[in-house]
Amino acid sequence: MRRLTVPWRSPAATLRTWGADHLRVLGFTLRRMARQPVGSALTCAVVALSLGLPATFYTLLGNLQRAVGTPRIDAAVTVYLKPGTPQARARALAQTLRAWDEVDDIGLITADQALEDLRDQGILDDALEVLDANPLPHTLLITPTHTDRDALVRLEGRLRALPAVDAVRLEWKWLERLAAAMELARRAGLALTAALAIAALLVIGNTIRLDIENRREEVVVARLLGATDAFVRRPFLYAGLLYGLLGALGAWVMVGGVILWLKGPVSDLATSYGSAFELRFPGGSVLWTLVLLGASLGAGGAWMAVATQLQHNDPRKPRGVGSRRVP
Amino acid sequence: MIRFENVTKRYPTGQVGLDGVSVYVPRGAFLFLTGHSGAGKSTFLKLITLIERPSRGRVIFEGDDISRLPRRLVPYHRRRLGVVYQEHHLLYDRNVFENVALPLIIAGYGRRERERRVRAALDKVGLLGREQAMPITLSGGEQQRVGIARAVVHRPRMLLADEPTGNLDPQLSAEIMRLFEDFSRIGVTVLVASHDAALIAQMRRPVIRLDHGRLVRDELGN
Repeated sequence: MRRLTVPWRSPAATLRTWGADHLRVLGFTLRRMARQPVGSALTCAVVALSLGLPATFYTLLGNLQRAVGTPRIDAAVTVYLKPGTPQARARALAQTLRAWDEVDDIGLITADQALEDLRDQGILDDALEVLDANPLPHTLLITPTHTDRDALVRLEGRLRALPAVDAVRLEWKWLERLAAAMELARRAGLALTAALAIAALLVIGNTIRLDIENRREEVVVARLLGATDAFVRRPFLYAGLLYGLLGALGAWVMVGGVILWLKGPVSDLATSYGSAFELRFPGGSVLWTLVLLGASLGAGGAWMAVATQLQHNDPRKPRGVGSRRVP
Repeated sequence: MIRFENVTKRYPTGQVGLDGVSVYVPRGAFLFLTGHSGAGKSTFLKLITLIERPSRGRVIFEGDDISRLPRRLVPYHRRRLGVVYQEHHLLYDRNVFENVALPLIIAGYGRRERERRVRAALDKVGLLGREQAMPITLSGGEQQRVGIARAVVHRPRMLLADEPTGNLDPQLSAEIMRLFEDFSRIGVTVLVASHDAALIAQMRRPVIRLDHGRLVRDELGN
């Protein structure tokens, strides 16, 4: 029967001691980081860059998606009426179609208007000269209510069945391409994020490893005085966590800075296209994601360092303790 | 208090630290552990602090076979000991108070209790009022006394000292020994490893003498 056991303490006392020790370690770690401001700042800066780059990328991508995704796509469906359809008929048809559920908005470009537009733009001037009659059809420009592929195909079928309709051109291919491009960008961003997250993990891990190396004596002494593994690890895990958190805040500031810097030119550009589009600052969810990611990368990197380094620091092999040669 | 039962320690290098040593140290004893360099003094201490485990035999501490103590209990065993090192093993980036408080922080004492005990320990070694001093600003003898304060602040049942006077002049050594005698008087078992023959002779205390890992003299009447 072994007499030595882990000393019993009430849960309340354990919790109190535990909480007090965590607070103590937090303060201790912060003071230590403040004592080496350059080194700490550099580590935080690397983490901030690693997290800030993908965060900026996603914020801009989100803005882009909003720019192309939410405003109506004008005339996603173009309907060409059969040549020779009277203009009154075309107007009547436009009225009918406007009542369809699938049709959000409709515009009519009569053959005469179309010809005039071409003349105004000075395109095909010579070709138009030699024609006696207007070769252009009346055109209906439809903004569909639903822009998903299936709805557009159904709408196309209904339109084609109309006797006056000559041809229907869908523009969902363009939408599909845009969606594919967005998906590509999203995945590239994911790969970038993964690569940079690993970089942050390694940088924090290496910083903590050096930290452990510099504090080897402290670790040995603490172990000799009866410190548990958890006690020895705690300050290093806290240091990693703090590097991650401060890095995340740095990344947040970086995203904000980039948006602020681009906001003016983007607004000018949007205005020139007649849009009220404005870059938006990242929302709270981006901050929380950054904080969570930073915290886990920091604690994870520190854990890697602690798990690999502190075994080697077992006081079984301390320097000095009894290994000294007395002359 | 502590009993070595036919303890042999062979290192992976083939070097023999201890060779079949059996010895019993009663509670409250004050004794010396001596022998030439490499005789096994350090191995003897390392087997008590569980820095090493024996290759053969058992080490019994207060009824427990600590040579087979699970790793997770090793920290709690070490908290029963106070160890004084020749090189002090102080942390030079912390002041005297923080150094002495370290065993109490590790054992989870509250702030008020820590302050009370640290002051008592510093008072005992004559360094009260130097709490805020950094160890590097202290003399060798003062640093050693900080080390002793740290070793006794948590009231260990056994005090181990590894060449505690190795770097000190005879007068300072005598002071340190007087401190150890005080602890012994209040019931702490004190084991001092030293090769200082003059000091040992002067102290008139029981001696465990090791030679090439073997016990050659044991004045405890085992």
